[in-house]
Amino acid sequence: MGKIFDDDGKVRDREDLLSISIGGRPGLRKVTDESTELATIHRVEDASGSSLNITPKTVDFDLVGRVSD
Amino acid sequence: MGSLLCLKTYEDVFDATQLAMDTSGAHTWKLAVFDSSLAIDVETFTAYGVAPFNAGEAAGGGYSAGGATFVPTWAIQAGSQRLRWNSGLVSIANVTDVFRYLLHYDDTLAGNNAFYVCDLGGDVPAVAETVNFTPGANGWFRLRGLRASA
Repeated sequence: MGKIFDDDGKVRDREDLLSISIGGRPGLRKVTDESTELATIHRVEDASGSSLNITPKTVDFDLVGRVSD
Repeated sequence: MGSLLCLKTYEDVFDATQLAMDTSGAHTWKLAVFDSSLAIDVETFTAYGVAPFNAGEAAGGGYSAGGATFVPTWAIQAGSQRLRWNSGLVSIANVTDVFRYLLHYDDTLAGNNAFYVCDLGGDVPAVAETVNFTPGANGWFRLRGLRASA
């Protein structure tokens, strides 16, 4: 598993993104560390083409607009 | 910067402005995509099309200015003691720009009032492919109804 963001908060370039695969499942590539990052990103390839699937992590706020968790 | 609630809009909902935001389905909501150049003052930023949301928006490929329509829900999440902002999948075809921030705003209101800014934490590369946004398991964000324990 790779992380899409490096220590400076910058994303890896597309070539790196495409080079990472998980679980031996063809067409599915995972590029984020779900435990630490603000979003997970998967690039999916199937018969209909390819897409980038982004899932931002749920943010919990208190009622003064600060992140509370 | 981190994800932000658009506090000026919240103020306008409750004060004499009586801003009539609506998540009942009567209003069109949009998700607009911006790059990392956004510099946002959490107390003053107001709306799509108004600084800083008048620059740095994605522009190429299949992205249309203003962003993609989506259907939000705004309801108490049972058992969580939290009010949840959620939606289904939001899909934008052929995004060809690097981006980082997602702005949620009420497109039906004349002011295009901003509601939420989601920070993805870093630049997402330009892939020239369909980009699908799906909120996390507990929605885009939640408001806690109880004071957090010290």
